Amino acid sequence: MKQLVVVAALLVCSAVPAHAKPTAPVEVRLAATPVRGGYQVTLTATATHDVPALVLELAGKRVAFPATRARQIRTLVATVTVAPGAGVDVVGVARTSTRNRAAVLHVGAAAAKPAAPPAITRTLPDGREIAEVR
Amino acid sequence: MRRIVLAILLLGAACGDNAGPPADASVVGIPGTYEVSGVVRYEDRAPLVNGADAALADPVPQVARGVTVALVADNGGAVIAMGTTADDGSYTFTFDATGGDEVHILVSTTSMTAERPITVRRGDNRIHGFGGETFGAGVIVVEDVLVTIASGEAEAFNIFDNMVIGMDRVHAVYADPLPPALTVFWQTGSTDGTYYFEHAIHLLGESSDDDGFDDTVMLHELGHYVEDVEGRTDSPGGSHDGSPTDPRLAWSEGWSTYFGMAVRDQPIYMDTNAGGGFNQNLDSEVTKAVLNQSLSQKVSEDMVAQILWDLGDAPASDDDTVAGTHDADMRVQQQYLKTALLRNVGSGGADLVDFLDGWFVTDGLSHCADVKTIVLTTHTFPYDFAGPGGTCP
Repeated sequence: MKQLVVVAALLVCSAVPAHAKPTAPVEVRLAATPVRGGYQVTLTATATHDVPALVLELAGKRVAFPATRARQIRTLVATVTVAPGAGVDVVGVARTSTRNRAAVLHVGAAAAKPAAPPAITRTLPDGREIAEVR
Repeated sequence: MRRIVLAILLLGAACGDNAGPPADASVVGIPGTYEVSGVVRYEDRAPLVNGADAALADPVPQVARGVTVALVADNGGAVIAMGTTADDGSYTFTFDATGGDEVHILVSTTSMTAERPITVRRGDNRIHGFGGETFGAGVIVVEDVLVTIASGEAEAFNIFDNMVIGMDRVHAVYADPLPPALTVFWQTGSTDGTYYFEHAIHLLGESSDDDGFDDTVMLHELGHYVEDVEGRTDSPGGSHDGSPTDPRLAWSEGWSTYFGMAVRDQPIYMDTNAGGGFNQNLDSEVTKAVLNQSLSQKVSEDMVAQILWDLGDAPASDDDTVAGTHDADMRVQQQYLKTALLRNVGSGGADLVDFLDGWFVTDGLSHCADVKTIVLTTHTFPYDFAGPGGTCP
């Protein structure tokens, strides 16, 4: 969603258009609510054009929907088991006949992200600044 | 005894991860002219077809062509010498120093040559860089550098290398000695979308969709740079998903996908994501227009890319009879679209109709029957074959 906002802002603020990459004719969103033993996760897929078929995948579940109209919403709900103090990334996917789109949502305890290697700024003689990682 | 072992371990830890080979003892402390050479590589993960999805291959070292290499003093960080890797990834410096001085190689995703005006930057505008092991200045030192995936920098070097491939093709096709500077923004976690805008390409780096190894995606965006710089675009821009759309948008996006395939001479577009991604084969897939509708009908970018591929590919393993070349397809941008007064048919801006007009202007009418088979029969696009290049029989 954030990337759409950025591209849309560029379209509004400039006469020169931004050229986005090819994407699937569907937008996807994940939301979660805590339940006993884990989370109930909902994948919401909104078609941006009419599509002859739409397949949603979430946490091991897979549901095929028939023809879906533009702006029509399809949802898939799954329960994800999460041990106390643990966390997991949940991937939701919407597939049309030729393309797909994915979303990732972390549920449970925050993931201990590996620390990014520190970057030191080195300045080349011509002034270019390099973020050096070793 | 345990204390001694612990002390040795601590001493080892204090040396850090960047300790390289020991200095040449025979020159330690002696001022002189020294030399270092080596090969710069990065860990690449090539996109692969995986059923209807796309996947990434296991990491394989690839040479880093045309990246900037600097020799940096560990003490103080001064840049002692600077150069560019050759197309085999090699570099050589001679430099003045005191033997044994601790130095290291810094490689960065920027070019020092006007022919490849490419820079890959982080979101904070700094250029991506990777530092090699520390070593001591010596008479002849060989210091290879491998930019690892674990460093978070390998993707930036892959992006740079794909831009080199594309920029070299721009020189070969368009004979443009000084194309405008191109900046690519990517870093792990970047979420501002994948798009081209005013000589800059932005690439996603988020967990759900990271385009740092998606070669065909970044080359698609380079295709927009090429139409912007060497040709013409009237695209309104915006989102596109293969559905029939504004012919100017379909043309611009289909052209850009085609360009990305043509520079690799592979007809398969692959975009990986957390859900498996997808691939498209421009050679084998067929997307159609509506034959009894007008030239200004909404069309699919996929159809545009497929027609361009069939006009340009030949002769091996070809499923059409046009013995064309991708270079000839690409030249239509510069030799026709950029300067021609376009026919007032189609969408009123550069689109597939205008490209086909230009193709016949530059190629002549000798392939009319074969092109009709591709355009009218296979893709059912109602092109009139009556452009400024003449009327096909």
